[in-house]
Amino acid sequence: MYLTVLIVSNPTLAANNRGEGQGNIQTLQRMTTPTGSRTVLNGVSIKRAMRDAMIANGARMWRVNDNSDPKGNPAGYAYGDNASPSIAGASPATPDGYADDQFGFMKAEKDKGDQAVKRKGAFEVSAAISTTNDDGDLAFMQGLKAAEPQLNPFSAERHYTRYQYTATWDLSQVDTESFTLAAEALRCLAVGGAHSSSASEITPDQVLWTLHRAPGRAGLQVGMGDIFPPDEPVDLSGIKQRAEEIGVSYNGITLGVRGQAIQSMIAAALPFCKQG
Amino acid sequence: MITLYVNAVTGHYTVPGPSASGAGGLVATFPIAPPSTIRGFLESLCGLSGGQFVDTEFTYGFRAVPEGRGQLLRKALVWSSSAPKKGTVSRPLHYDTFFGVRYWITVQGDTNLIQKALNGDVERKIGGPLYLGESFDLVTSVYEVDAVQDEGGGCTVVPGRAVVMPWISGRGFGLRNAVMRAYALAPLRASPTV
Repeated sequence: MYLTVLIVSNPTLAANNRGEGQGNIQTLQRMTTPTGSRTVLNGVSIKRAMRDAMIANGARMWRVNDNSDPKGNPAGYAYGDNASPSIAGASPATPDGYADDQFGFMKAEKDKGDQAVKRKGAFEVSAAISTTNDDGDLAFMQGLKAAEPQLNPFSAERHYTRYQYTATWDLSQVDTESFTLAAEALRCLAVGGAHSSSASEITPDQVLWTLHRAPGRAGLQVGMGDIFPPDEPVDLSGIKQRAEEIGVSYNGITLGVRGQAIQSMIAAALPFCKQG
Repeated sequence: MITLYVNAVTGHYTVPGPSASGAGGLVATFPIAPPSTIRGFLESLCGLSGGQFVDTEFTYGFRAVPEGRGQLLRKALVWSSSAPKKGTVSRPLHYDTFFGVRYWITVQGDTNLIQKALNGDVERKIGGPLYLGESFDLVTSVYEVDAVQDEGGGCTVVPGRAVVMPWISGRGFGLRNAVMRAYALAPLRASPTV
């Protein structure tokens, strides 16, 4: 059984910078469409935000991020119970039984025949795309050089908008505790950019979720024509209707609001998770 | 014969070969998912391992021009030869990515297996969510249709000279080379035949 969730966020100020700077302007990651430019939050950043939230909620993770590594590992990550700076030295060698096992695993080495060096994730998340075009707003900021007591002015792009993204679980491959921790993390994600002031808080406003027996059968997708301005209520009924028109009906499609929808989604999905 | 519509949020189809990591630059994408990627997608949908989808032919293309295009910044491991560089070095790279991709795929052969897969009646031992391209290229819809409709700038992948793409994927590091063929993107015609 698969669970797919489409989330349209509350209005937020996008600051997922480090796309690429232009001069002294920090730019947002974006995509170009025939009708304008939309900003994008990378799926990698969303997964990282989920990891941070899961760790904050007490999840036992095989890979810890740089902000929670007890050894202050300069490489940024530590692996296994021995906090190894590399995957090769981690103990245990794989994330089996840890909450982040659902994100997949790869040990970067030459394939050795039948030896398993990678495993597909039971959970995947798409990039988050803004629901309105980018207006090119800039924030004027000043950076302090540590070596010299002087301020260096720079600008950073900002985009006040909602974001929409899709995530899917293969419930048969994730245990109940890990799934619950990951799903609960969707209540509030701090999707970071290059700087501590650049975290975009992504919280769900409207949630569409569905359980489906076959992969890829959720039918929940937002197109560029679905525009949800930050100062207007979100109406996902059209998306729900489009999904139903292509035959997505197993267990129905549930439209919910904020945390209540996350709660009901978890409750419905738990019986299909890997038990034991 | 069965025709499928496939929608995905994003699409990045890495051009194999020397990466852009040395220049911290752009990881290029093919203009459309290569046939090897489509084959792997169908195999994953049907719960098959790589190379098991035999005695089956398919043709495919975009139903419409992708809704957007941009670059996503990710960190990638720097490899030398057959192993990552010592110290697990990663570098930022920009991945050229399509957004809002909409495919059509017409398959001739074991269509019963595809029907069973669409009904959720096949066992996918490897499992996991369905994607077309990389793991972040999540497939949100795959469903059967009677005929292909051009939704604006649709195309069909045909033999040609415009782009060389893998017909059979390689496994890298001298294990198996990819089989490359030359293709072109022809304007979509209604009800293409295999």
